[in-house]
Amino acid sequence: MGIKRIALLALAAISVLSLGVASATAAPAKHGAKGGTITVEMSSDVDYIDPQLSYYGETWKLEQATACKLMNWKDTDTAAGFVPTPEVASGLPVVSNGGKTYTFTIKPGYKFNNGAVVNAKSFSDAIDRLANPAMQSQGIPFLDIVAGAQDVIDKKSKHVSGVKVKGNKIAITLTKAAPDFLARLTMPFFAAVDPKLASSIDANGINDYASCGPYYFAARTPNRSITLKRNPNYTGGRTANADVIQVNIGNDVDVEFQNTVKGTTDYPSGGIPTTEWKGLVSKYGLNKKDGRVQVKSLLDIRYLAMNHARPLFKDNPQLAKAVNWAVDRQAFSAQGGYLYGKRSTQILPPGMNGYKTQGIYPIKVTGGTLATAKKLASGNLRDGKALMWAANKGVAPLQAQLLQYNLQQMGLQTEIKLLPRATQFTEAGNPKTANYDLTVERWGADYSDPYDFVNILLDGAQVTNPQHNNYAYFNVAKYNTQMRAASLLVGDARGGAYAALDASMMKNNPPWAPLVNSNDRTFLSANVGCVVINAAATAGPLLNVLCKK
Amino acid sequence: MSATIEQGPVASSDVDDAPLLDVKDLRTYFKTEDGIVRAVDGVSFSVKPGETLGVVGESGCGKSVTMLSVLSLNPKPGRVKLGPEADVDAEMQKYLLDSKKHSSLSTGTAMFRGIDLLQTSGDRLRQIRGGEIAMIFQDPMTSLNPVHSVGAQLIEAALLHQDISKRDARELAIASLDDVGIPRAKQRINDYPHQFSGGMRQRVMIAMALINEPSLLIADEPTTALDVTTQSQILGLIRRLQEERGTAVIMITHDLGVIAEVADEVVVMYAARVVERSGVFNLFEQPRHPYTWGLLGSLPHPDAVADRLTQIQGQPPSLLNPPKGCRFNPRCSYTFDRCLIERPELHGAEADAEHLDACFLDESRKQEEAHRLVAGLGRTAEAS
Amino acid sequence: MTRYLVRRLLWAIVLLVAVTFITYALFFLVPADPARLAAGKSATTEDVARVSKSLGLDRPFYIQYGLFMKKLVWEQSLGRSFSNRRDVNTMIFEAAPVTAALVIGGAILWMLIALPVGILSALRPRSLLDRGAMIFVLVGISAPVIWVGLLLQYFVGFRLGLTPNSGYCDVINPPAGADCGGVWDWFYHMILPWTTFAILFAAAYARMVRANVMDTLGEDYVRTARAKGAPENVVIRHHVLRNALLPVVTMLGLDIGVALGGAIFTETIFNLPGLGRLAVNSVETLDLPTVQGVVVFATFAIVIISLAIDILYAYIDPRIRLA
Repeated sequence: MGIKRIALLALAAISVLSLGVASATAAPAKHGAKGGTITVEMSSDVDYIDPQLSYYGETWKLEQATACKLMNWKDTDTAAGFVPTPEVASGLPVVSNGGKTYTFTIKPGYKFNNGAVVNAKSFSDAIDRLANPAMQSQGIPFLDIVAGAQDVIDKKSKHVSGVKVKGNKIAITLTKAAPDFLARLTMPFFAAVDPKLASSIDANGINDYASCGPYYFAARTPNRSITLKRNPNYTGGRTANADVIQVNIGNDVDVEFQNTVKGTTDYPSGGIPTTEWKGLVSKYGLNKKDGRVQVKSLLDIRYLAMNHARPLFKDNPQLAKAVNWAVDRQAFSAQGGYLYGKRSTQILPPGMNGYKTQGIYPIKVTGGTLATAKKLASGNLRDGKALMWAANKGVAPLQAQLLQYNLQQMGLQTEIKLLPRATQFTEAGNPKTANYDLTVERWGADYSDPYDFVNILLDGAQVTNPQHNNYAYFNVAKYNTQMRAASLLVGDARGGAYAALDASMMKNNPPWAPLVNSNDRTFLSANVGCVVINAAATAGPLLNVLCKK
Repeated sequence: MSATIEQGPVASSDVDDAPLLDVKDLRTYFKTEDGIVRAVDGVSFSVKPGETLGVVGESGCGKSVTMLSVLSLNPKPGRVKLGPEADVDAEMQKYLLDSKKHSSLSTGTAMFRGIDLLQTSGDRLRQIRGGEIAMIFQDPMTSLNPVHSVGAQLIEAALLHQDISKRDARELAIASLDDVGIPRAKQRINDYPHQFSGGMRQRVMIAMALINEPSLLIADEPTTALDVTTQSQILGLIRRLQEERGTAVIMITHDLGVIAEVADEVVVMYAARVVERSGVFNLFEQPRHPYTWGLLGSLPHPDAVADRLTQIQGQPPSLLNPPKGCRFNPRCSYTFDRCLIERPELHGAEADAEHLDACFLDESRKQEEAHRLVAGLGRTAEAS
Repeated sequence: MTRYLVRRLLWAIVLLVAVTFITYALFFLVPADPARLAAGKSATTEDVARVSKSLGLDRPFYIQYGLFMKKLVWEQSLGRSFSNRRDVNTMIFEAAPVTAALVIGGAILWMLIALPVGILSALRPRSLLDRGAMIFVLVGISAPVIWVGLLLQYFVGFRLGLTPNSGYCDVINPPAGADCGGVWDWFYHMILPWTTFAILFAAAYARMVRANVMDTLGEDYVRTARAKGAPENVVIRHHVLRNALLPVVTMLGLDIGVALGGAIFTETIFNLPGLGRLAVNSVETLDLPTVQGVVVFATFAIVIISLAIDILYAYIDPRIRLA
């Protein structure tokens, strides 16, 4: 895949501000032997291991084991794991200034592996370093709501003025209320930095730095391997089972699978051939405690976007509904192999705040659903022809053919254009080049909040930008207003508002035909004893928890 | 220096006028994709010590193959000894077709100093090759290895047959090059074949052939690839060295002019067989075979005018499927019934038993025609 | 000789300029925007513009190309990667020895197979050995490298477990945390890649050696050698092989470029951190400086190697040397 792995941070089951959870120190007790080396394989190298630069999903699996943050996710797969929880902060922040200032108190005792103490400045330095234009970090879009960050980005200042350190307290002031701010703080971009890293400004990223989580980066050879070792100074409550986590890079899925079967690799993070899953499940069972095959749903959506800027779908909600009745989500999913994902007929994925089972469209195609599709389409097919874009790799071309067949059955003659994945979404995001009627897309959450789905993907204000994510070119004034309003709400009200938006759009004016919420499929070697998967923290098993039997 | 051939039969055969090499009823067949080619079909000849035997005939008549057969230098050579009563032709074909290892097969005898070369193999044969019997080839361009210096190739030849040091071999090589008239031999020994002219290369070949002082030198058209002046220099060189060393020479050529210049005895070959054999004087004075007449007629006599040149009509026959009877019959203007049916054997002339030919024509007719031809050549010379 | 060298080097420079220019132009025909990739998914238009400026992607492509060439000539620098901002020189310096090990080791292996097989089957045409060898040649030439590699990987490396099925070990200075290192581990891990890499060429070269030896056996100077009384083994070694193998050396020089192409597949299958895999990875991430770096280096390497082969050839073939 030529594109940045979608970073999958996830899952605040309930709104972060309504939380009453007090502490993250209660680590779940884990059985299994401590020590030894856990071997992980990745298909391709990570981008950076520098916390302020790394942005690949694969890297974040590692950062989750090395970074210490103000807010983090607990090492558990229970409900408590899906709530941003204070880690180095001694408790939830005091929120003042009309929801715009967050004051955290630092818990004493956290140290970097080089002995430096983690204090309030460690986090203030991280934000300054992230904002520093010389770093050219991709995390800047997550930072721009912090007051004074723009001055640093524009080289007018060295320090983000909205961040103030006083003793063991750090106060962060935002330019506007951002109810998803605590979830944002769990991203590695905001991980504590020691004074040495704070002063190392290098857009190439620093490979040798101290960290304050359960592990630290002991070595990195680009394109070859990364070695994590246990942080000897770690006093926090998170688990650190293996002594060493060795990451080998570059094997394709076939070899990763072979090595895991042989037992020379413990966790094939890059994946295994999709055809193997069925056999593995029947052999080892599914989602057993510490079992070898674990399947959890991801916070993502695969969908067929309908281009509302083109004649076919412009002001044509009947046809958009017809498409939702016609597409065979079951067949689409089956192309991805066993346990590829869960069929979906709505915008928000399960587990996301605001997710509510809507059931507006069928998840199974029958003669009846097809008849409904035909009825809705009849008279609204316009010239009866459509152009559909899809990626040219993997199962995408086959999935596109299935969709083509579904659309043809309801009377829409569809032509398929296959493109390299990177080209597909770059051109689709540019109004000058987006000449498709339909495009098969996928979106994964950066962090667990409906804003990152609904507003980012469907707010009509962005459709004239040369690079945007509204591939449906969906621009309905009513909905624009509603989603902006929803983004300012907190807690249940926030969830309720987004759920209502989801239902309303899908029912009355569908921007997409949602297809599948993907699964995160994990296969482990026979040597692994402890498995905890927390989709909110990262995809795949938590590396700091994996242990040797 | 001592020849490495053991004493014994060698010494005893060396004394009198006995032939140095005596070839009897030599046959060599080749296996080809088109069938069996009878390249040498019952050839006999002999050469005495110090004497020069000329072998003449058109290209493809088997003269070169005859000599290569004697030294087993044909491609993948097999040899077979057949009993006196055997159906030689049938046996040869069967043997060759059954063999995977051989693509050519020879039979007959080739007595050299008391041993039959066609029964000899291994080290014994290799000692004779290059040691006792040396050979030079038509194209000095391709006959020398292009990637080794001429010195290296001469030294290799010397060391194969003489028990001397490498340094001595080098000295010997320089002396040999000097002997064949290569100027600055000491320097030029390090040069590579492509740095020599054609004539010089043939001199190198001769030097290499003679470095072990063989008793017989087989020269296979040594001057064909050279220009006329160089030709006579090379022939002169061979003759001089032969006289100095007493080496016997078999000179293979298609050029009767060369024969006239160097040969003592002559064998005329046509279509894998000997058609006439005699002393050189007799051959030119009293040629007895119509083919020889043809050859003589086409000889560019130094004094002859161009239009007197007569060619033998037609092409030599295919040895895959040669004509019945006398093989020259399709091209012969004297052909009569018998020639088409019966194969003529070599037989002595009435006047001279040493002068052999294979033609059914009457003795008188042969003399008459020979006389007319020789006189005609003479008249032309006089007329000009 | 000097004039020849100068001419060759000038030609190399022309080649280099042409190849880099074409690579650049191809990249600008791809509509995907590296700046957008580098800026990240959540980047705003301003973010992308900022990244675009910092990477120099906002300038017209001929100016970018000019800057690239200037940097290459003046600073001998290939620049920095778009995707991870590493120094391209360093990346190539790390990757080149791996590819060299693969290509050189593979070349040795294929010659070790091709020479005996080719020579023996030439000396015994139509024998069982010859027929067997020619079947190997047919299979070796027709089988795609990827197929052979995956087959070896699955059966020899995984099923039989005779060799590692992928990965690379350094002979010296293995990276910290590497689970292997040293000559034996290196050799052990290279067995399958070498075999995969060598099979195609071994087959082609066996056929070529066989044809050359058969041709040479018919040469007049071979007959001369036999007529001199040289034993058959001397004839073969001294007179046949030297001449028959001369063209093989030339082919070897020409095939190095092809071989580097083949290294892409082998390195990808066996996860060798060489130039081929570096190139594949960088093409996938639209990392122009790295792709360009590999192209420049490979072009240079091919030119230098073929020059070296030419000089070697002149040394072993006297006809070339003095002509």
